[in-house]
Amino acid sequence: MGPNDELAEELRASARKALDDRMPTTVLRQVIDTEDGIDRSLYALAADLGWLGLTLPESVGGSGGSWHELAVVLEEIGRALAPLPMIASVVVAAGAVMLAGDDEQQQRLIPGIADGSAIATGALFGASGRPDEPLAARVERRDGSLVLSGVSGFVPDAHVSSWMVVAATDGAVPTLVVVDSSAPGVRIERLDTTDVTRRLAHVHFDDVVIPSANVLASADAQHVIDELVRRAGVAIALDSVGGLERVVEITVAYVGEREQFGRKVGSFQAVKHHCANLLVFSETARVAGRAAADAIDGARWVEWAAIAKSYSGDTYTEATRIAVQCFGGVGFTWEYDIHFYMKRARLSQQLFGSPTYHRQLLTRELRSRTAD
Amino acid sequence: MCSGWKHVDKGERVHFDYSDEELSFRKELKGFLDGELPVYFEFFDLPQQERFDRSMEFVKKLAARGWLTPAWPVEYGGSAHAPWQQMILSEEMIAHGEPRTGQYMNVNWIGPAIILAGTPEQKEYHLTRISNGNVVWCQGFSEPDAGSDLAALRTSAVRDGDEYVINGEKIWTSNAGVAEFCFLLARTNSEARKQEGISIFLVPTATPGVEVGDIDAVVHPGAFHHVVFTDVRVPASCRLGPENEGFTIVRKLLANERVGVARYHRAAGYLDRVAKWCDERGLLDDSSVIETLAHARVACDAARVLVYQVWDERTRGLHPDESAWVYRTAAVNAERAVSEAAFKLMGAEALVRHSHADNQFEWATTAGIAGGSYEMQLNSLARVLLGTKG
Amino acid sequence: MFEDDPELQAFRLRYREFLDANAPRGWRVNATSPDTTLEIQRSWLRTLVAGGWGAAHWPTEYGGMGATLAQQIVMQQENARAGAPAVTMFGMALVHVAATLLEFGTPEQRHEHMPSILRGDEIWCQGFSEPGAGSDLAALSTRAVRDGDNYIINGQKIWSSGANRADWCLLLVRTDPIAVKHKGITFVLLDLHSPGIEIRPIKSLLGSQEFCEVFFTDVVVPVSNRIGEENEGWHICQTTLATERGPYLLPVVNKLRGECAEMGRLAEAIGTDHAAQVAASFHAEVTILSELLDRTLIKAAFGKSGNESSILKVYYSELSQRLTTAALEMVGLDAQLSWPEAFDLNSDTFDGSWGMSHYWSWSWTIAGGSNEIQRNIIGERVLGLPREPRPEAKVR
Repeated sequence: MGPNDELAEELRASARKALDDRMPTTVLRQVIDTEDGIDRSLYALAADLGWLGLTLPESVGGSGGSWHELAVVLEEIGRALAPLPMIASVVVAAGAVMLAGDDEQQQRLIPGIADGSAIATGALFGASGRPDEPLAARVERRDGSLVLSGVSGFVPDAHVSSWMVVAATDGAVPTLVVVDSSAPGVRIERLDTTDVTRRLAHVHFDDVVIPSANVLASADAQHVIDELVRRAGVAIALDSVGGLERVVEITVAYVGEREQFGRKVGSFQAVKHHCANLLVFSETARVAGRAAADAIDGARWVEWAAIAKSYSGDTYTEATRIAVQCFGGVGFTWEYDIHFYMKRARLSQQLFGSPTYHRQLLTRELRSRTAD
Repeated sequence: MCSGWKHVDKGERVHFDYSDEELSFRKELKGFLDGELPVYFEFFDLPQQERFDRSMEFVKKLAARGWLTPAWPVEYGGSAHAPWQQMILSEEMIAHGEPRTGQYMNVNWIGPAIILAGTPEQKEYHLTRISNGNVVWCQGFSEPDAGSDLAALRTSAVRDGDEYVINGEKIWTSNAGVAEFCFLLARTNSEARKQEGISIFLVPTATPGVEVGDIDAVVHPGAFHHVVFTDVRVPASCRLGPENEGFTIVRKLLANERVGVARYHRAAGYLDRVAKWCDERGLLDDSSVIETLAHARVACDAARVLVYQVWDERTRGLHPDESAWVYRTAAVNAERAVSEAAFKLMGAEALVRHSHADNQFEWATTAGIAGGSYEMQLNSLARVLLGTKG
Repeated sequence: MFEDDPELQAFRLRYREFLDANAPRGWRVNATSPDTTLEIQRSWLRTLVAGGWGAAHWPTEYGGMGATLAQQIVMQQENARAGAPAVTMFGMALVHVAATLLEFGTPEQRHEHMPSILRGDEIWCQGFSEPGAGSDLAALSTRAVRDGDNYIINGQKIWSSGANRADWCLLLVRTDPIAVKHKGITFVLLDLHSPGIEIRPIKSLLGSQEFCEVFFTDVVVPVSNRIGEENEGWHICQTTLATERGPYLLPVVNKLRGECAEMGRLAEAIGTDHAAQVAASFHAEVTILSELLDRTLIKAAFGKSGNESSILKVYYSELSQRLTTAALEMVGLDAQLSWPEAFDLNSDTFDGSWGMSHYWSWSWTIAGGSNEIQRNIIGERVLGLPREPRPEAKVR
């Protein structure tokens, strides 16, 4: 605790107020019924409030802040279930360009992300959207130009993106290229996912010509992809932390109101213990998420990223399962909000690597440490 | 060859096997179902109306073969098949997507309720229709403030000459939109202790004042309804059993029912698909994948063995309270284990709406809530084991 | 996850230097019985105190170090690193007794006990639970009747750890049998060498004699040994119990870390994906627990002590049970062989016996307020859920 935290708490208060005002679940219910399922005016507000450029350098329109603060915003977004393409655009797409792009690319692409005028995403995996499956997109040189073909599965927010970073194989090795989402040959197949607060798409590439200026010239694209998986994973973990916190609140409020057998159902020990378990999940997942955010770039970053993503994925889903159980029948209605959390948890658990995948990363990291 | 649970060592150890006759019955039944129906998942995924229409058509054929109400006494349109054939029927039905849809309820307990407590006229009228597969029922039990605490229901039926006037609201009523009759629990005495003032009514849903609305459920919109009764007048002859004895009748029936549909069998069938999906992707070399599949499979088989035990006790005229509660919790565990396995192994593909995994998730979620919450089932079991009340 | 600032780093190095020069080596070989272990610990406590490293959390005026929580954590880490003996047998005295005396004791009581605790001359135990007062501690019925300047005590306590070697006991007694049950309880310091006391060790499921029953027949305790006012004992014992869940947990976490590292080695040896998954998930959870504890302690230092103690207790105790269960499966039948006699189960290092760790883990989920009680506390005091209705009075 220190001045850093006071700043973070101020940011939290303002973020919560903005989201309470602009994205109560009554509004969320309208937004998810729109074609694109995001709230562009809220996204503009997010830009005005400085959320989008929070961790981007000042030289490209950001404010050079830390993940300690970004964590606060991501938690609040998760709490509100806000349908904002922030992880795709800021953490993944801008992250890729900052890690692997040159100066010209950064100057050209990042300011639009920071001011919200552009939305971007990352298509980093194969057809099933899993980091542990081979890429299904490839680039080839044809008549002096670079041509992209194949597919990337389960790409978040592709339908609202103006550009995306695509991982494709170039011969035997992966490479990263920036693709204009409206370029000829790009087809975005929207998916009907159970989590209605976020949208995914399969992106098909049919001989898309990639200008040479759009190749992210990193020496080791796999290394960059791995880092993006970690960052996106931690961002999802923080989203889950915020969601878990709210799940505890609304569940406790419901069982404290609902009466059966002449008592509040929350006075039954079986229900009360469910609620206590929810809090244990929430508190431990929060510690993991925040520790990971604070560990970025440090000696334990790889370890904490894997811990936070795997643990939050499992606890958020289990907590929402218990929560719906506490709500009983009404938990099964569209009218109550709890099911939105349940489905967001399920998607979060799988996006950017399942808990199993991240535990494999953790094992690898611990092994490499023992070997050192 | 023996049927059901064979007792060895003075009942200490049990052994289960189907007889040749039962096995050939299963084979014949399967052949019939395969010919009549698309595979389970496709039937389940049909649009609501089509599913209903096909079900109506199918159930009549089932009835014609004597396979709709085989366990009922012959005098009421049954064929007095051995009880284990009913178990086989129950498993095969769900393995094919429960093509009886709402009518399984008629067979399993609405019919038996009428057999137990109905007047000769009620039996004559309703049982024939049910055993012919001609009628859809819904059950009017839960209310907004009477879920787990069913006896807290407030829908009232006030006697007025030869009629009752019904007012109130029911929720979670499956099939109310298409049902011809509602098996309704209503309060006929507001002074009595809450379980003692309830009566059963067999209400034609076409009666003026009955209004059906959809509940916007998380999945399968249109599957659940709420039903509002406003000054609904029904003749006193619609009452089933004596006035204020409704809860006693329901309790007797539920003691006999409690097995419900063979969800473990459907879950196990779905698990086979998950395993196949993994196999196609070469994942079965990974011991953690095998572990996950095996864990879920064990949960399904545990539920299966437990329900056989309940069935066995029932056929021997015992009241299998304890094993029934154990079975019900085991069935919920099986549903959950299969759902978890699907998510864990299939990743984001499980999250596409109306995917099989998504459907399984829905089954698993409702399993612990509908028909008495998981916690209530554990309480009931604890009461039996500890011999406590409350 | 502490990043040492330069000052803390310097502190760490100073303590490391002290440990390198003074920590006994090879002491485990000699720790073959409770008595020899006690002597090793006593001697180490005296060395620590003489070197200015004793009683880290005590204020300096009582001979402690007045160390910050960060410093205490550093010392724990360094102890584990150096393999120094933990002074577990003096834990009750150094932690519970000190906390109670510092908050509620008279100056005379502090001066009588704290220096001798530091010298390693006083071993303490706790006399709270009774056969009829376990989870429902406030139902205790050991009676204390005032007789001039003394209380006369009759009754029985149970689960007093180490009472058979202790000199003194933190005792809860009933002084008002008519009042609402938690309002008639008084907290006294009992000299276990007084006449009328009988101590019988209970053989635990490990075969060891960790716990004791203590019987009181007309035992005389001077009123001057009372802590706080008469009938105020309930409130005071809450403070004593709360200390169990603060820095006191650091050794527990250290032990879990050791177990986790061992599990990692086991998983490598087994070599399957499944074993690797299991080991990784426990590594994740133990790391989270450690971080949760650190962050909880920091909060406490900032005066924002919340209700985390119950959350911590539920989490670490069940984590310990789950972890050792998984380990037993990994080890297989080898883990079913009997283990060495247990005599220092509160040690901060994993001693190689999964069986012992496993069975001992139930002491964490049951003792100190069972996890069911902890979940009630979380539900009612933290989340504000309604209490379970009191059973209605029996009508005869």
